Parts: sequence; structure tokens; C-alpha cells
Amino acid sequence: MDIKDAKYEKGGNTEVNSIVVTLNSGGILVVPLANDNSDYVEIMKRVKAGTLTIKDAD
Amino acid sequence: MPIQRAKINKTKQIVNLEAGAITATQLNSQAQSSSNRNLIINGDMTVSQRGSSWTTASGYGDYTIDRWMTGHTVTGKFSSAIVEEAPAGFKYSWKATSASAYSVGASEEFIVRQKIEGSNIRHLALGSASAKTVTLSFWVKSSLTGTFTGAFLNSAENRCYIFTYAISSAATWEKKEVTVTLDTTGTWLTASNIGLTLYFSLGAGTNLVGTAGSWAGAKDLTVSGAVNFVGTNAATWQITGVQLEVGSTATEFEHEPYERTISRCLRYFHRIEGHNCREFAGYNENTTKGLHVFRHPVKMRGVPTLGVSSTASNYIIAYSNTQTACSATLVFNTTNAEGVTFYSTVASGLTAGGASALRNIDYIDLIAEL
Repeated sequence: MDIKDAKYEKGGNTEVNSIVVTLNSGGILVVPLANDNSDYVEIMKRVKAGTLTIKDAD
Repeated sequence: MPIQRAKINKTKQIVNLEAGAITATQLNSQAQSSSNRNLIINGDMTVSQRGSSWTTASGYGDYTIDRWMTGHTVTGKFSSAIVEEAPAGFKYSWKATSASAYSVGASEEFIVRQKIEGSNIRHLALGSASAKTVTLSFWVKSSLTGTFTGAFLNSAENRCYIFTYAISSAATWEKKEVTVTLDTTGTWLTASNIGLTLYFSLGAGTNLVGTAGSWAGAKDLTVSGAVNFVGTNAATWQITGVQLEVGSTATEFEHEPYERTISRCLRYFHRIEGHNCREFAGYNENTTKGLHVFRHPVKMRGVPTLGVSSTASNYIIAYSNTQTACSATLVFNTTNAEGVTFYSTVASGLTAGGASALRNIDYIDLIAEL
């Protein structure tokens, strides 16, 4: 996952429910906040390692 | 001779009514012909929802053909494709082509692998004294000859078993068989997470060198002196007919009906190609948002990621006699392993409460890979 940008998303709800990831290779991933989702696990690893910052939701 | 009719006689022998007493070999052969014995999904490389060729231009790992993922510490050292070139009885193989004569660094790795879901390996009893013996078989062809390697690893990548196989003739399909007594120690997950991963090495550095033929508490992928495929410019390596099964004998590859293989793949990845028709029914929640429903054809492994085009206008809301291109990316309303509801957004013009449908003219991916 070659991430260009990441931003929390509420998806029309009042609470954040996903992360919208823009990829350098093109395309967008909408990643649910779910521990059994390997994309979410990978994103959180990068956040923990300090290599990725997720922007706040609008 | 196949066993068609059998009975037990007075001396408690099983008797084949067509051919006399049944031998142990016959019984074993009959058992081996049973279905669902291949732990590898898409071992004959028939399902490829993500296209037909791939680069290693970014990140560490990229899925290629369904269930098969490349890994590369350094980008751009090889590419891969699905090709119509295979040994008799197969149609497709997965082909890697080296991009340069690269000198592999000590901690670098170049691999193709398949992660097997934990719930599919419970019967192997990994990590216990009852661990089973399994046999891996595959067809391989390379422009290079020599000793190649692969490995089995657990989820934490702290238990590994390296195996070797020799390619003796360049550009010739050869069938390889590897029998492994599975690990009696270590932690092996058996839920909907990574249970066991099969690696084929296309190049690995000295820090990943171990000993073949025994389990070790490390992540090792190769042995000293093995071929580093990425070290030869334009080298090719192809594989198909990959089967991993319980027992110490490799049986004939289990050819599944296509619908069976793709159904197994859909648990992890589903690409809905754009057919430019009204596919996703829903309603307009307000004047700018449509809410659409999609039920997965098979229960996915976990809560999936939604993959969409970065061009919002590749999705169009159709309502009444009007169609309006989206002005923002599709996003989840809710998502789970059985289905999703997602929002589409336009600048204005929808009628709140009215019915609508979404036209997809590019793609929508649902991704629940391991």
C-alpha cells in the first residue's frame, strides 16, 4: 500500500467510520476501522511507527 | 482399477466385487481422489480479477493473480504476468521476469507467496505433537538452473521451514514435490487470520539464509548458494499447479470447476467491473447523497476495504429520468463481511426519499485479504 494521503471519514454518520486513503499508484481505498481488516492493521502500524499521519475528518 | 462396488467378506477383508481383494494402495488412491484436499487456492492460476500483468513499482507487496502476492524490499526488480503457457493439463502459469542483474542486499527479499487462512489449516494441528505431514507439489520452469528455495512461515514470521528444489534443465517444465512434517511448536493461528504462508523465493539476502529441511525460530527464506533470480537480467521463472495436501504423497492436481475456485477467491477479493449499467439499488437520503446496498456473493474473510477509482465522475447516480455524475468519492455507510451500504455524492438535484441506482463505469473492489 503506497499511501499518498490518508484522512478520517464519517461516511455521513456523526462518528468516524473509515479512513480514506489515496494511493500514489492511483485509486482510493476506503478502509473500515476494523481490526480484522489487514489494510487497517497496516495503516495503524505506520501511524504507530510515525511514518504516516491521518488527517482529521471534515 | 477403481473401486466401484465393494463388500466385506467373512474374514473381514474388503473385496472389490469387480476385481477381487482391495490392496492398501488402491484404498489410498481412492482416498486421495477426494475433493477439497488442496489447501492452496487458485493453484492453477485460473482466476485473475486484477488484470494480467503487474509491476513491483511501489510499496512492499502487491496482489497479482488472485491469492498470490509478490513481496519486494526494493521496487522495480521484477515484474509478473499471467501467461497462457503451462504443462499438459494446465492452461495458465504465473511468470516473473527479472528487470536487471541486481545484487541482493543482506536483508532484502523478493518473493511470491500465498497466505492460507487459519480456519483452513486447523486440521493440520500445527504447534502440537499431532502436527500432520503435508506434501507440496508444483510445476516450475525457469531460464535459470540450480538450487531454488521456498519456505513455510507462521503468522508472526518467527517459525520457518525452508525447502529447496533443483531446476536441472533451463526452459523446461519440471514437477517438484516437497514433503514436510509440520511444526510441533510455535504459535499458529487458526481463526480468520494468517494461518500458514507459503513462500517462493526469487532472491533473498544473507540475513535470510537458514538451513533447509527443519523448523527454525526465525524468518529465513533461502539457503547459502541458492539461485537469486533477480540477480540475472531478463531471467524468467514460472509456476503453476501448486498443491498443498495432507499426507506424504503428492496426488494429481485437484482441478476444480471454475466457479468453485472463483468462489474461494471472492472470500478475499471481489472486483466488480464497471458494466455501465444501474447496478447498485438504493435511495436518495437527501438532495446530495444516494445510499446504495451491495450483498457479497460469499461471506468475506473480514470487514472489507472499499477500493474505488480516484475519478469521482466514474460513478453516476441514476434517478427518475436523470443521471448525475458523482462529485466526491464513494464512502461507507456501513460495512461487514456479508455486505456493504455506501454513499454516493452529487452537488445537488436529488429528491430526498426517491429511489436511485448507481452506475459504475470503472470498478469497485471489496478487499478482505489476509
